[in-house]
Amino acid sequence: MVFARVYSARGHEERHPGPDGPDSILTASAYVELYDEETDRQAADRGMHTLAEPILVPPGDEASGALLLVPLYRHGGLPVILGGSRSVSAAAMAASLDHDPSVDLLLLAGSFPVEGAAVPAALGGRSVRVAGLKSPPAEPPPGFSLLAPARELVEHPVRDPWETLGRHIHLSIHPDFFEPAVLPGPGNREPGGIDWWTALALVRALLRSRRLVGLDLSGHLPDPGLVHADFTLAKFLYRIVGYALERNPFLGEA
Amino acid sequence: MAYGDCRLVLLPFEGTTSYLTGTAGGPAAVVPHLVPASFPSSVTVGGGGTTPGAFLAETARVVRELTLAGEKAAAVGGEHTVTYGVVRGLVEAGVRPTVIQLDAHADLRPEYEGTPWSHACVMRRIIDDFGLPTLAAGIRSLSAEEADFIGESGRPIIFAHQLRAGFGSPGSRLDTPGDDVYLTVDIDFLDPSVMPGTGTPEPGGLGWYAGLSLIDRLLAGRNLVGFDLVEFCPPVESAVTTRAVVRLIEYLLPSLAAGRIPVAATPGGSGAGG
Repeated sequence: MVFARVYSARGHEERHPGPDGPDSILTASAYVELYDEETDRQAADRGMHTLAEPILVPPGDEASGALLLVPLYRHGGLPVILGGSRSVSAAAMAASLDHDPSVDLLLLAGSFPVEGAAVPAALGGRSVRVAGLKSPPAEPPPGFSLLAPARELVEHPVRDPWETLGRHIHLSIHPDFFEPAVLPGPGNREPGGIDWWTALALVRALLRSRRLVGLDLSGHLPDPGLVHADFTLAKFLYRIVGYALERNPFLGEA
Repeated sequence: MAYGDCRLVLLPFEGTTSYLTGTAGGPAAVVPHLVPASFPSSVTVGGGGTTPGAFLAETARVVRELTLAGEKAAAVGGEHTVTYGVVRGLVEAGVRPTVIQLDAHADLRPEYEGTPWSHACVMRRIIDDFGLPTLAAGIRSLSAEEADFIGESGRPIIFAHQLRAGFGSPGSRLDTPGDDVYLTVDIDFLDPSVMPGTGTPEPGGLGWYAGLSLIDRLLAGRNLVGFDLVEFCPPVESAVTTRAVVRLIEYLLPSLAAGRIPVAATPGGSGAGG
């Protein structure tokens, strides 16, 4: 597993997520346990590396940015990419596609990225499946397809929202997937997000029978007065890694 | 409600917190918001800057003398390490309660960051040094080594995911190893959306009413001999958390007032081993 901080030099959002988001998550992760008492498993006790230097991707050119991320996939490892602007997700998805053309692209987000227009261009026409939208539009923007809105995920937890997905997954997470009470911050003010335990159950169900090819978490805007958001995202990443290792225990050795 | 035999014990100690600091300011943030007419008199132990050993010894002396005088401690930290001093004072006075721990973290490490007095070790110290029965609830963060210790020692623990799934019958009394109980409340047992002002927050905690209900289930029909609230860190957040901590103290005080110091309390009670 390789944890990498990936920034674009300039975001397109009202506040520009930069190094603060990934750095705050990495700092909090030092105080988050790898052991998962629910599964009685350690997320990983070996094979976890954090790149010392961040990777800078060119703003507005996610296709080129993807080329910078491709080396993270060598040796069968799982890249865990911490953006940066939400547009980093497009570069991470493109890199996963380059590594594994069969991969399905899943975005857990409460809203479409403002810079969403860049996503289809970077992915060569491959559609991004989106789950967790709080106010889903009648028609999604080009390049996106709606899998399940947030309300359906919350109110119908028994239904499998992932049944149409393939066996190989790139998972992108934007913090506004969560309910603001769970994950407060200046980038997550819209009500109607997912609570902690539902989020864990959804991702565990997703990865129970699928291989996680790539993972990115982008768009976190930390607030010094609300540090539990940093801890929540760090722990969420560890839990996802643990679920991925349930499926593929050799990932940790890559 | 009269709280004549309850004493507020303020423990502004911080020496080992791991990440965000400021728990020593917890008591000072809380006290101005307590309603004086309904609140017990208070005693403050030491001040910041002393070593864990010195602070805990002084805490134990204060609590031992209170206990032998028939008073019960409502303690406010400070980091979780202070609980050791309060429990030691009770044990030295001959009181050997079951220690009920509400917490996000197991706090069962033999040592952490080079010290056995870390707030991450406090329950392990209490178990190893005093041999008291314990029950932990709300736990959702522990190391593999702590999980092994729980398995090997057979110490009862109720994880947060078990509480979420509905542990036992709703509203039913939860089993504890004994009926004289001391309650240590690390405020991070509640969800950070309820108690954001703490130094090592963990997602997935209980909501406010679920937390009160858990306390009700644990204390029902039992003799509360003392309690503490710890790990409030005002620099992280104070507006919401101060009020929540005050309300939690007020919620626990009637149970403490109704409790009694067991008649077996005598000076010089056994410390180690039990």
